[in-house]
Amino acid sequence: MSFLEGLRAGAIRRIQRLSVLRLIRFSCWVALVGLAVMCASILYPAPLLIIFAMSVGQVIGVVAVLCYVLSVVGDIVRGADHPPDEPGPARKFRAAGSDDSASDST
Amino acid sequence: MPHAGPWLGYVALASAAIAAAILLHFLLRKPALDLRAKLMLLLGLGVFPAICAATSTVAGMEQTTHREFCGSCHTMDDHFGNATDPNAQSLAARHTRNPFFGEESCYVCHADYGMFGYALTKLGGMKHVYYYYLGGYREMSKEETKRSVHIAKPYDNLNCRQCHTTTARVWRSLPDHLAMEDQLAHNRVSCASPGCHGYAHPFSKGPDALGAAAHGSAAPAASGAP
Repeated sequence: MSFLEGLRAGAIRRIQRLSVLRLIRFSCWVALVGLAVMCASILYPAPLLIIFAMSVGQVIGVVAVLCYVLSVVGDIVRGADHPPDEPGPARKFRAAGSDDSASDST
Repeated sequence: MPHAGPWLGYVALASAAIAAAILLHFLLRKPALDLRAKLMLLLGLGVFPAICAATSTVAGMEQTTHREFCGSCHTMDDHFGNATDPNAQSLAARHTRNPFFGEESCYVCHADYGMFGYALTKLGGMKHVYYYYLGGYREMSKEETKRSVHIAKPYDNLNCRQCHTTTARVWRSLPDHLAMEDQLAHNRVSCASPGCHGYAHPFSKGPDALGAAAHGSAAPAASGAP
């Protein structure tokens, strides 16, 4: 397995371990930070704060949205039989994954 | 972009408040993640923050055109004080008292014109921020800034001519204008020269320049510094 393939497999394993609900909660907290920065730049329009809000603040907001999109993708992939606050793939994928992992380990 | 009005700020704050309420409700009440909750999260994480980001950006850019914003760095204290002094007779002060320039007198005079004028002016403003925070101007005393801070490039007469057209009869009736028409068009002589209309910020030019301006010296300011 090449380095890139290992990296990809590691990333997939990490995403599968993620809980959708935890990811959404994380994106909520990140979005709140981004919103606070943007509001601060309006209430206290100092040069650095405005520049910070228009650069870092917007990046924070984009990260929050991407986390939410990732959670939506994860939710769709895992299917309706998987509780959103449980990490790991859906039941049908778990069954398939256990076969794969069994064959991989041998 | 200027004159967008304060309502954009209110829209940004309202959007942020609605988004924050949705997010906090989700975080604190922990409702079931059903379709309704997902749609509310789409509003709280996507729609309202996007509105907030867009309007706060425009409102922030609008703020950067305000005179108070320009005067918020101590290097501009004297410029700000002179421009807002109701008794001052400098070009900057007289233009600031003109309602057209209003609260944005620094921006109206110093903004580049043309299609990309706004963006170029804001890029230039980023250089000012860099000089202030990383270029050592922040640590300078006001006396030091008077010696060290200069306009970045010669002031373009085109900025004056946006309002003061050179084709009007009043402008052309002055022999000095006609004699220097070519030099003015090519920025070899500044409108804001001592002997012409005087420096825009005369206090920043030192006592010699003040004297020259006060006595109406005819020496043209080849540097074009206002």
